Amino acid sequence: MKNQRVTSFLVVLLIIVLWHYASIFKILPDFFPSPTGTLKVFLRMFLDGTLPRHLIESLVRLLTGLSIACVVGFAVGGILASSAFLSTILYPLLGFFLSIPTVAWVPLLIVIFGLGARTVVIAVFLGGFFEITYSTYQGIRTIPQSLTNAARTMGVSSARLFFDVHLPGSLPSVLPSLRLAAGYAWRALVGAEMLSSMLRWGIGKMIFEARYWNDLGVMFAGLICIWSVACLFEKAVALLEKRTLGKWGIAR
Amino acid sequence: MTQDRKTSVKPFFLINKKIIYPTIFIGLLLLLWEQASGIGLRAQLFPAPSTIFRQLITMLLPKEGSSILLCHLLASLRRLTVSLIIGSFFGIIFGIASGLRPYIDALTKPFVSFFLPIPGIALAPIFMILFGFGDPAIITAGSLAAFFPVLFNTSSGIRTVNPTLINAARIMGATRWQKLVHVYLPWSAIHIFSGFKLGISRSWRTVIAVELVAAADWGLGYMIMQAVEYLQMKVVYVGIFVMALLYLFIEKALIGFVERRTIYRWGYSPEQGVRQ
Repeated sequence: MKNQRVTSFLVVLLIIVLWHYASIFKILPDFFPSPTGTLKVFLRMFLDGTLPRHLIESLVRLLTGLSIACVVGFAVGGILASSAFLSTILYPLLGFFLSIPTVAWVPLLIVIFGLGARTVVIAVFLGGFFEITYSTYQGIRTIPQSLTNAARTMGVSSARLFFDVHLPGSLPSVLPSLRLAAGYAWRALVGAEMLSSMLRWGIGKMIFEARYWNDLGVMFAGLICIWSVACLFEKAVALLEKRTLGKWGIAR
Repeated sequence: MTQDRKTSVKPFFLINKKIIYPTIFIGLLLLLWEQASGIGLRAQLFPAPSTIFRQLITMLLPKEGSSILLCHLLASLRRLTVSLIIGSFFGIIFGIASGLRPYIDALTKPFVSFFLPIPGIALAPIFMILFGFGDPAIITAGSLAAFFPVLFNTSSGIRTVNPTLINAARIMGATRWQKLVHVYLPWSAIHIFSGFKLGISRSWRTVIAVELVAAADWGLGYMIMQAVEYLQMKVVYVGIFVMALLYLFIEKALIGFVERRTIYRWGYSPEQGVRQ
């Protein structure tokens, strides 16, 4: 394991060295920046505050949209699972909406909500909402009936049944899909920011604007940010899984 | 069991609540929308379902020899297919190599862990600079979106193959090729398949997304973006509807069919499959 880490590190180093010499000997096209050039762009943008600002604006949009999606998705999923009638009615619709790529909503949202941040937040919400609803519904449905019955015989109220039995019981399905939902939401955010032309800030915007100046350095800097945020989210969900499922011993 | 089936000879859509209730509900929703459009909802933004349906028919019917909608659809499908073929072909090859050889795994790992979490559309501007608008940028982004999930799943599938089986094959004198074809591939098929499914879903999303920003002539994403510029909302709804139908078809009919024919028949249960 450790050995492999070292090898991977060496590989990355090798790629950077190759890239460096390729740009020194003009093998790459002129507008392709060298590793040091990329690093310089990254540092310059980081120090003059543009990169953090782009990143923070994006993160705020992501977290707003995603947390609304979590709350609403959890509620709707819970309601769907508790009512057989509603779930028969709404399940096909959910399947239909799940199969629409989130970015496909963006043109529609732009016309309805304008070219600003609202569109982005709603796109993020849509990216997370259907996935979370679906997995909450599935998670609660797969809880053994005996657990629900046991709780019922002990006389718990519906609210406590939901919060003490159904909610923790659905987590093995919800948490992995939260990872998926965050991925969809992040994708939707980048896409929506590219298309919402009235925005000034945002990581997707930054990458897309750089296209006009053929500025690959800025794009690479943006990609590094996008990658780090995605990894951070992954780590956060993994930690959450360890703290809950791992501790309770119900990990799948 | 067979007795039960024989007694219920009524057409099954009449007795199946799972079909009839949602149909009624969706019908009611559409009716409500139909009535509200133009009164409560602005017809410009939310055209009535009948208008959208009429638009769908108009676009579907051939005009001057070719149907506009089908042309857009086929353009997107062609890009998806080409991306999938390129992406999964190289994905499987590199996946097998890195599953079998640790040093190749170390070589591919940095790429996988960098590109797997990055959305395909974030790479689009780079390809737009390098290759310009249109097919090259879209297909490169789409292939990469399929490549990395397939690679990752194939290599982890190959690594989970029970070493006893491989030793058994070796004792029986299997050549390298035989070991690969008769032991490694069938035993990691479910992983490869789930990687492929993930690849389809990612590639499709990426193709549509990149079409929104970088398509030059045809494609569903391009169609939607173009319609927004002329404020033809009914075309946008048609586009979204067709996309959902197409993806449902690919996922349920095509993948389901292949799954039933291959991995279920080889003795994997549907439950083992990984969703998405």
